[in-house]
Amino acid sequence: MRDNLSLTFNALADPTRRAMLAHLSQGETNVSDLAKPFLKKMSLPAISKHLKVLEDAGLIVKTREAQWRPCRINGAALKDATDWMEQYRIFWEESFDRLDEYLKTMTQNKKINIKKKGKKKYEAKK
Amino acid sequence: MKPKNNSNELTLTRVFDAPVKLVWEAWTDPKKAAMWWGPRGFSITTKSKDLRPGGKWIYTMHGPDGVDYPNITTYFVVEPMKRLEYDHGANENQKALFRVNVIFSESKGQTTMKLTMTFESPQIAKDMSKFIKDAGGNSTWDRLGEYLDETCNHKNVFLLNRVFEAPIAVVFDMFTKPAHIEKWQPPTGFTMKIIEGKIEEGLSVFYEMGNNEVKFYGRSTYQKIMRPEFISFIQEFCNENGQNAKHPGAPVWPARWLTSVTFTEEEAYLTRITLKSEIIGDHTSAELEAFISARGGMTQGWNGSLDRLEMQL
Repeated sequence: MRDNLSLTFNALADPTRRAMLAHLSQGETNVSDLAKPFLKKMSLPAISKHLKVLEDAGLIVKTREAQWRPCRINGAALKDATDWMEQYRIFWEESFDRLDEYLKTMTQNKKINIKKKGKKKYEAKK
Repeated sequence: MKPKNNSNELTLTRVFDAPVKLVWEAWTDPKKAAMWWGPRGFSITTKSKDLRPGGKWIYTMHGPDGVDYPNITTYFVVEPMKRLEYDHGANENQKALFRVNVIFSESKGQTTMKLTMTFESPQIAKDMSKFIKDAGGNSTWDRLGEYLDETCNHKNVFLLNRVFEAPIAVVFDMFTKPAHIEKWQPPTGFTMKIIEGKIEEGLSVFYEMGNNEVKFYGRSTYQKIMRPEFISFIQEFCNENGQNAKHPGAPVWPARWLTSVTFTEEEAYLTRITLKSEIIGDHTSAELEAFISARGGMTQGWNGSLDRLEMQL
């Protein structure tokens, strides 16, 4: 299962990245225009890094490979990201995947033992 | 859901907080069935429905990837509010994959649904069990439960059922022993640490989740702990001092929500978890709207989401 919850949490947790998303909500913008308001505060590589985080989280799309790459917001991913239910569902499904794995490691050694005991208990109940 | 003892049947039981009349209607009225039928992300369009023995329900399932799956279901037994028997998966090009028998019974306003799927052979039952799991087929019953809570109790709830291969006591410990919770609960790449508190009725735990880039804090306050079958707790996000606060990465996440977990022993070594969550207490209309639109799904464009996001900036 894709672990997009942690990616989204990471991406949205930063005020610079949220400001970039807000800017992009006004419409498609190229990278240099998007970077302008932040250049006083941070270096271009730092800005690129933020964009990369947003891109990896699927929140923005760079439409083509060129120096003046236009960026746009990925509406579907952003909707998923701000839908509580969707995030919540992903959170628990991923947690349950991990619980499944964790239970396997926990019970591997004891499995035969527990299975026997469990069976006895089950049969006793019947 | 796995076949038992090399049987050619798969069975599942679910209990819904709704009278049998509503459950029956949800199953048989095509408009209502359209609200929940199929795994999450699927929708259906009914072409025709003739609900009587020998009658057919002709409909198309639309997959999240845009693929359409035509279905022709034939009913064999129709006993209103009691029992349905039909086949599933047939269409003009293929015969039915299995036969379904559903028995409904009501007790104290709750409805128990016992569903049995019968396959041609134990091997097919085994293969289909995996296919249904991979296709997210079990989420269908979560959707039905959510739909029933919404129409019957006017509550927007979240439901998730999952079966684990472990004894009930072990699975219960996973939710009630801090050392275990810390291991499986945090998202991948995150760690969780319970800073203080106890998992006891009326008490709460304060925890931290994070990685090297972001940290957030939360509190779970335990309402009921009935070993080994039930726990409920109220969850909220906090700041590092333990005061209630919004989670920076989840602007529309509600302030407080109640989660209950029911543990059911399906077999000696098979435990089902039913997780149910709902928003409680005060919430802003924007949060409620976000909550409902998340459930409604398709109608809300991303502009609305962005507005809510911007409110938090």
